This record gives sequence, structure tokens and C-alpha cells, in this order.
Amino acid sequence: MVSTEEISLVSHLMRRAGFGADRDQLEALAARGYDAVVEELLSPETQPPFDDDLAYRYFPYFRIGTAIQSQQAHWMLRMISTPRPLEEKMTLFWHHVFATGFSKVENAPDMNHQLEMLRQYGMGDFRTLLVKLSQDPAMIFWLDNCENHKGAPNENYGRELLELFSMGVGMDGLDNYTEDDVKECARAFTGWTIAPGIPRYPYGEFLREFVYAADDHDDGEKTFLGNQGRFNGEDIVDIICRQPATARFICRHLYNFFVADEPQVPAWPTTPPQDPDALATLEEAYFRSNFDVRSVLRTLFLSDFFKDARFRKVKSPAELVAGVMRLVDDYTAAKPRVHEIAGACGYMGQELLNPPTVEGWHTGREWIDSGALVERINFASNQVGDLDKPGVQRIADRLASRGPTMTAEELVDGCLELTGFVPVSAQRKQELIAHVTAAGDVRCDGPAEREEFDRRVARLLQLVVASREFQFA
Amino acid sequence: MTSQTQLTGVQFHYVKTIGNAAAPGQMGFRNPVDVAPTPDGTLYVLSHAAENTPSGKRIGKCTFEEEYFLGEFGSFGEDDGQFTWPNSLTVDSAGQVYVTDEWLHRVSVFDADGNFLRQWGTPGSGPGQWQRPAGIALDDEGNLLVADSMNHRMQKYTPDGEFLGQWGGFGNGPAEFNTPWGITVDNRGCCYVADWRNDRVQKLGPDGEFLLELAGDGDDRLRRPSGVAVDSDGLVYVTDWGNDRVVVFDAAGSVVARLTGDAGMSKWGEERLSSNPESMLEQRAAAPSLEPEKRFVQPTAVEIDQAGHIFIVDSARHRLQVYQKAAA
Repeated sequence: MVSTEEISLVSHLMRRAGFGADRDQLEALAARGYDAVVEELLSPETQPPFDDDLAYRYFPYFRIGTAIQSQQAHWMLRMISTPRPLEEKMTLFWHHVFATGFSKVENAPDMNHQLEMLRQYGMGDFRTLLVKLSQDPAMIFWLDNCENHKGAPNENYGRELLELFSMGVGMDGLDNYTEDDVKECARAFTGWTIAPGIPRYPYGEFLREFVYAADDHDDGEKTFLGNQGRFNGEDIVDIICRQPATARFICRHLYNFFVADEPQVPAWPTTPPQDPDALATLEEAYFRSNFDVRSVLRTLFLSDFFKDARFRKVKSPAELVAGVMRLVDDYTAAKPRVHEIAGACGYMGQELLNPPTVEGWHTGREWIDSGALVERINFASNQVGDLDKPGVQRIADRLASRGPTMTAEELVDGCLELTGFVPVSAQRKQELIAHVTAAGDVRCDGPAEREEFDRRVARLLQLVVASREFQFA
Repeated sequence: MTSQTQLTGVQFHYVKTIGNAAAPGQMGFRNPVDVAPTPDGTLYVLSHAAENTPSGKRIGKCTFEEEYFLGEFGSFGEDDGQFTWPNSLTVDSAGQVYVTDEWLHRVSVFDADGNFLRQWGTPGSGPGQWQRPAGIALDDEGNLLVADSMNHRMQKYTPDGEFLGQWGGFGNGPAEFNTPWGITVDNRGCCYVADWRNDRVQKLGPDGEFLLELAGDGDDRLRRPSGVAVDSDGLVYVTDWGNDRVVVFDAAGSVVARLTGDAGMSKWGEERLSSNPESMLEQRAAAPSLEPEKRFVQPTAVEIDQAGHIFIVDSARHRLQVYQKAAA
């Protein structure tokens, strides 16, 4: 018999390392033990893959669509239903860091290709990931590396590779690189381009292909971060990965995404991490493992600072939407109108595959403004208030099984527990109890009483997901 | 010259391409999933399309010779005459059009002009019920065979929807199925089923008895076959959906050819390009190769008309590729 604390801890892990899980799943996971669950999450290849065959059968436009809505729908269906939650969470993480926008790329196969690349390499060695990123057609077009020529460099990709994708501008009040380093970095990536694509008319989009144009590559001597040589892109990535700044920057991103909200990225050069010891632990894991992201994640998920960080970060819209849908067990298999579910993220301020800039989305409390909060509450409330959703009915069933009658406080505690051990304030809890009390005794000992009980559970769930605390993961 | 990998003496000629990625009202299709050629030369093409463009789900009518667009009907939704996950269609001798819908668990029937006539189907696993009806075909008595995909069985109905019988069930043994998709009936009343999740096609006798498995091996191994057709010589054409190709078997189940696509520019495509020639033709000229444009991507269905034209529904490329078998 697993304890409530063990279930609560696994619930925390699944919210962060995945998109949540319902109570039956949590009990099964907790029975296997926290450390074992972490290893399962870190080994997605041991779980069955997302069923793309069925997705393509029912949504034939997912493979080569033209509209961003189709691609968003495909990804949201994956987030909700994947048997490999950490693999998908890391894909979302890297999409935050390597923010690439459909608004400019305008090629769905290229965007899909990038997501698949992030999925494939996102938990491996960081060096390989950066090389693949530098060869990614969507990224090359997004940051103009196709305009980066020998003798006429375009610094866009080289600059963002350093500033936003690996090292960050500065650390501990010092600059991490110079303007000359940016220029030399850009020179090293000359010739890393894409072949001209086949136009989308009349037969739809075609994936563009990475091309290394040797005759357009500047093979001259370069000086980069104190190193000298006739560097090509891979050499630059090698040097970047060895930098303490890279360890700090990537580990701080991981901390911000998985542990607790940090200030926005532009503040990092001058604002120290909130938990320097935690960052030092992650950075040590980065170097000890030779830049292996999976090893850093293992260290993170097994740490006390992670286990103690429950409800210390604001859910992103994608986390909120996918988490609610998993909770109510809807769209856990292919179903029409999934594009509307995915589109809800956009109304909350996170249009998937279309971040506002290359800097990505501002996170934490910046996810919340009055409009976004209303969208978040309305979305979650509409879902958990629907007793036709299997997950909502299962919550009512589980609560009803606890006895023919219960106190208002027991009902409130049950709803908070089954929505993820939501830690509402004492005042909020009293308000919820008062709401239940005002409607009379809680009974489920007859058909009519049970019907009314279910309605009261659904209404109470709506109040729980409307709470401030539910906005946190 | 075609993309054919010729394994025996059978040869195929690429004839033409019909299609264009088109919004409703334009000349073309959007993610077509099935085609029904009729004796008068009309082609009924079922477009699945995306749900965020609700009027994209439709049946378009055109002709083979002129590609003349005769109109379209249907839209996204759950009301009478609408589709949610349309899968397959067939046309009977009276010109009535039967369309399966995997989400709505029903068959909708239209007249030749696209007027909605009737529908039937209820979700379930009992006799006469469906879970995601997919492939549909007429037998020589005018009855309808339907692949009941999530019940992993075949069902037979009269054209009015009267249940006549069923066979099959879940499994990978003879006459068992896993999420079947396309079906066809040959001139001897035998049924061929694209046994999608079992990566094979099964040939069954008129009463559902197992006769033959077509799966290929090695490089010819099928992956998620979606559609099947049989010609007058007994050759079996399979859209090998998961491998983006068509595999042709002889009557004994040996692979005789593989096709990977030869699409040229359709008439509607030419019109599309001519609407903005500076931009589109320049882009095409700059592309290092147009070979990828020729290839099938997720072909879903294959049908053969009375003239021997072999229509491959090239779903993700919004077109039909048409072949013809060379005279022996």
C-alpha cells in the first residue's frame, strides 16, 4: 500500500516531467517507486511510441499540412496521449529555448522535422543536439543562415546560437563572449544552408534539406573564445559545449522549466540564480556526463530541491491544457476538433510553433494577465465541469466509493487530492467548505442522491481549477 | 519510363495526374482518401481535408478526359449529409453514392447530384452495429461490404442498410483482422481486405472463408496497407500506405511490381502555376530536383475503371496518379 505522500510526490514528478496523470495511474506509478519511475521517464525507448499511424489515418493532413493549426493539433494530441511524457516535455522545453516561428518559416514539414529532431536528440548529448539544430532547415531559414555567405556573413544565427541557445550573454555580472566572437562564430557557419525548396503549389509543402556548401564556407583562420583554428560549425559547437557559461545557461533553463520560476532570460547576466547550490549540482552533472542532458535530468529529478519545489512554478498554457485534458481523460485518443484544444493555448498566450520572437515566451508570472487568466479558468472549468468526461466521472466514482455520506471538508479534501493535491490556502479551503455546506449534507446513498453528488463534485472541481493555486505546477 | 520496380514481365505506363491542393470551390482536392470511377467517366473524389477548414470535407466530381469539375457536395459536421472522418466511398449502378464515416459510425447515401438521401449506422459491437466503418465496396449482387474497422470484421448490407451478415474478428490468423481499411470484390465474388494493422491483404471467399494472404517479404513487405483493387487479369494492387508506394501482386500472391509515383503537372496544377508564373516557375526552376514531387505520399486507395485506368489516391499530395497496364 503506497502512502499519500508517495502518491503526492509522483504526482509532482508527472506534472513536471510530463503533463500529469490521473489517480489510477499515479497509484500504479507510486507502487513502482519514485526512482524507478524517474528511470522509466528517462528511457522513453522502453515505452511504446505515440501512435502516429492512427493519427495519420484519422488526420491525413498531419503529415504534410499547410496550416499551423494542423501542426498544433498534431502536437497537442501527442502531449495529451503520448506514452513517453518526458520525451514530449523535453520537446516542448527545447521549443522554448530554440524558439522557431511558423510566422516566418511557413512550412509545416520543416516545423515537424524540427520537432522530430528535438524529440530524437533532446535527451542525448548537447553537442549533437546543437549540431543538429545548426543543420535544421526551419532554424536555418528562421535565423537567415541561408544568407550567411563566405565573405558576406549574416550574423543572425551565430549571434543567437551564443546568446539564446547555449551560453547566454553573461553570467555573474561578466560577459560570456565578445562581439568578435559572434562574428567568428558566424564565419564558421557560412555554407550551412538549405537547398531551394519545391514550391507548395500545386501539391503541398515539401521538406527543405540541409546542404553544406563547401565552396561558400569561409575556411579561414578564426579566433573564437580564445581558441584559434580554421573552425567549422562543429568546432564552434565543441568549444561552446566546454564553456562554464553553457553549463550554467542550459542548467538554469532546465531549472526554470522543471523546478521553479526564475527571472526572465534577459535578466540572467546580472541576476544570480535563486538556488546557486542547485545550479552547481546540475552544472557538475553536465560536465561529469560529458554534456549528457539525460544525466542532468536524472540529477534534477532525484534531487531534494526538485522534490521540495511542488507548486513553485506557473503552468505554461501547454502544460495547463494538456494536463487538464489528461485529468478529464479526453483527447487521450484521436478525436475530432483537437485543433480547438490546441488553439486554446494561443488564447492563453502560447501559440505553439509560433513564439513571439526568437527569445521565446516569457514564463512564470508573465504567463498570467487578466485576459489569459480568464481563458485558463474558463478552459479548465469547462472541462472538469463536464460529467461526460471519463476522468471527471472517475473522480466522482472514487469519491462516492469512500462512503454513503461525508463531511463537506472530506469532499473538499477529496477534490483537492484528486486534482493533484492542490495546496489551496486555508482561507480558500474554508470558502470551498462553505460552498459545499451551503448546499446541504453530502450524500450518495441512493440513485437520486448519487446524481446530485456527481453534480456537486463537478461544481466543486470547477471551483478548484479556478483557484490561484491550480495555476501552479 | 515510370518509377516502377519491375520484378516480372508486367509493365505499367504512367498516364496522367489529376489534382491540385485546393480549397472548396477551387479545381482540386484536399487530402483525398478515395475515388470512385463510374461507367460514364465521372470520378467521385472524397476529400478528407482538415477540420479547421470545415467546408474542406467534400466529394468532388470531375471527368477523366477533361478533368472538368462538375461540382462538389458535403461539409464537415455531424448533421445529415455532413462528414467528420470520411473514409471511403462507392457508387452503385443507379448512381447512388455511399460514403463511410469512421467518427460518425454511419454510411451516408447521396444521389448522383449530391442530394442527401439517407444514412444508417449505430455505434456498437453487435450485429449490424459499427465501430469506425472504413472501406466499402459493392458485390456483384449489389450488396455492400463494409470494413468494420474497430470491431475488426466485415459486414454485409443491402443498399437500404438491411444487415445481412458478418464475419471475421480481432486477431492475426486466417480470416481475422486488425483495424482493416480498404476492401474490394473481384469478379468471382471474392473479397480482398487491406488488413491494415496486420500489414497484409487477405483474400476471402464469398462466404468469408480464408483463401490467400498477400504480405510481401523483404523489400516488398507491406506496412499498413490501406487500399486494394483487382484487375480483370487477377493482378492485385495494394496501396502500401506506410511505405508510400503501391505494390502489385499476381493472383498467387507473388509481388510483380512496385510503384513509387510519377506525378507530372496536372491540368489544374498548370493553371495554378500560370496564375503567378514569375514566382512559382522561378521557384521550381531553382529547386535542385523536382523528383520528390513525383512520389506518392500516404496513398490511401486504388481503383480501376472499365478502361483499365488505375487510379492511385495520392492523399498527402492532394491528387490522383493514373496508370495503365501495358499490353502483354
